Amino acid sequence: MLEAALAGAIRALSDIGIVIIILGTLYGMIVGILPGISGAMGLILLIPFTFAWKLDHALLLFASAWGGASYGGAVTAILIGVPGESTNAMTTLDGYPLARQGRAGEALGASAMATALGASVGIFILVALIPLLRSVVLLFGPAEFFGLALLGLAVIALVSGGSLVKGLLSGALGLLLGLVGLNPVTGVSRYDLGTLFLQDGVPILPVFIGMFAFAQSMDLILHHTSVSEEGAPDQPMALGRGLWDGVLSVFRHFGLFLRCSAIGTLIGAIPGPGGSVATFLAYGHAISSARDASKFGKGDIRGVIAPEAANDAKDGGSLIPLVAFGVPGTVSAGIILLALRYHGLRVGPELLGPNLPTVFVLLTSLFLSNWITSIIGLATGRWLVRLTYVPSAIVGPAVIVLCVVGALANRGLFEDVLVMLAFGLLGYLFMRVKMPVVPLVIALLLTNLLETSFHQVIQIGDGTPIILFTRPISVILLLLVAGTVLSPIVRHLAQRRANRQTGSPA
Amino acid sequence: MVVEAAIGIATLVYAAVVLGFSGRYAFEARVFPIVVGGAGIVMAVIYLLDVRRRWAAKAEAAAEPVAAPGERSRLAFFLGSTLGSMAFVYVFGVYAYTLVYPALFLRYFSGYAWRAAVLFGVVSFVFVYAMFSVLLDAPLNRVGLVLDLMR
Repeated sequence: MLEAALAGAIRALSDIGIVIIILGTLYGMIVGILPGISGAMGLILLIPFTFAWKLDHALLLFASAWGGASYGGAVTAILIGVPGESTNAMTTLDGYPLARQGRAGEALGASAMATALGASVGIFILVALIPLLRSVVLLFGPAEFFGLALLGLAVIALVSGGSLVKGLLSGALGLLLGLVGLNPVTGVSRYDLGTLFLQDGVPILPVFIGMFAFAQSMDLILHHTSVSEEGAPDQPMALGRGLWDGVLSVFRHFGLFLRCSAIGTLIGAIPGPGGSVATFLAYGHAISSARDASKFGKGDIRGVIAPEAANDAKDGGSLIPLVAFGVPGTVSAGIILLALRYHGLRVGPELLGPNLPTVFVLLTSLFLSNWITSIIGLATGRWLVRLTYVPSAIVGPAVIVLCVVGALANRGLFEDVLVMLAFGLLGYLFMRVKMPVVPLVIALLLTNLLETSFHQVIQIGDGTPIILFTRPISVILLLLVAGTVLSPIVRHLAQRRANRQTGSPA
Repeated sequence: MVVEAAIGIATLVYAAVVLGFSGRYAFEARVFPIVVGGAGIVMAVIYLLDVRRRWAAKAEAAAEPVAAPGERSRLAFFLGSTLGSMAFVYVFGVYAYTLVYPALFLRYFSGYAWRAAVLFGVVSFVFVYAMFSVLLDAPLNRVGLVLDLMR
């Protein structure tokens, strides 16, 4: 494994690798700072620009943009009280009050160090787990992969949007759409309406671009004007002194930092929950473990360290199911999966075998980008944050242009643009009715894996799926799926019974 | 609520179509669509029942707030301009689109002055052209009836 790590690191840093990492980090920071533009959208819009690139360079760009976006959102959360990413929302609770007390520098310093170190912890845990993962993966056959993919979908459906029913419907729709095109088992084209265009299936990149980038920019154009009109100050807070104090505060609260990084890595490793859940849990842990929690919400530096550590540690964690099993746990990991596919790389157990150096290319970039973003963020955050005052009237149409260009860039087919537009409108409708988009796109990505595994299960079971219920790991996974789907229903019924017994309304 | 119901009905219809047409394919090719189609129908029915339950609960409470006066016209304008721009791309290609759409959007949707709008369009065009035709050597000129006629 050491040879693979060295080979990956050398590949990452050779040629123009470090230049790509710096540029990708800057891009990610800008995307993270701009409100209304999510990190996922920024990653998706990068894909069309990398079609002609070497795999290594594309991976460097994606990983560095991913790392940069995490910290960019923290800068706005602290300096103007508006999180650039949803995963930075918890940072606002204490970061902005600190800024208003003239301690913005301290908050930024703590955030920068927690970002860089937190990401390092997440990556370190992933690297340490690789030998174990290699052994675990060998225990996984078609039944286990089927169960794991199903579990990933179920968890994502449960946690993505609050309503399990909406999440499951979104996932079901994604699976239905994934059936279009060439069947991975027999090569027969299905549900293609007799068109050549659909024989390759519903094109995934235009779907991603539409549902994330187009839908969000449409919402930005129609419902937002500028950050300053949403209650944010006209000017970002002054940095004040204390940058170094902030950096050192992470070491003064090192136990808390480590525990929150572990929380972030663990949550990241579970398909579904994502950064928002990780930061929420980490913040809650910081409060519950504090001897004096009176300052939380009013400017406690621990309220910045905890969520930022978890937010960045989760990136390494989210690569665990992707690298080991080919199951993306977050949208960003799903985009990495998409990018790997576009460059001809199969994900899953093969990534832990002969392609392990490629994993370390990704990890090297993620590691370096988090440190670079912290340094750049500290040096330039005060100026970069002014990007948040760019009106949505300019950001919105710029993103829409990139959406059209991005949809067209891969195959040069006008039909891809129409697919992007159709799914963009669908994504907007989903946003308006609070239906989660993530289950649909993850299901679309996983349909091939699910169908291939399912067929293998049927073949091994001589025409029946019996091995799903006889192999221990598969049984555990299916029980977890059942638990995930049934637990909200059971909780709801128990709540109704309790309300009836107490006589209070449901 | 109407949109939610429409999404549920569309999913139900689509799942039924998938299930119905699965008989055309050989066993190996239809087994998974049958499972997914069936699951899709079940999920769509559960979802629609949930929508109906929430609809009834809302009807008993306050009426849904009506959309703000300008909201529908902004949406209609945006949708119209987007569809129009797709037709523009089909006829004139994407490079012309990157020049014209941002400029017209900034001028007529956002109310900026012509100078700013044209500048924005030019910057957009230069960026896309420089990135794809110059730096990446992947020109985006395969779409556009006018471009086809010129070739």
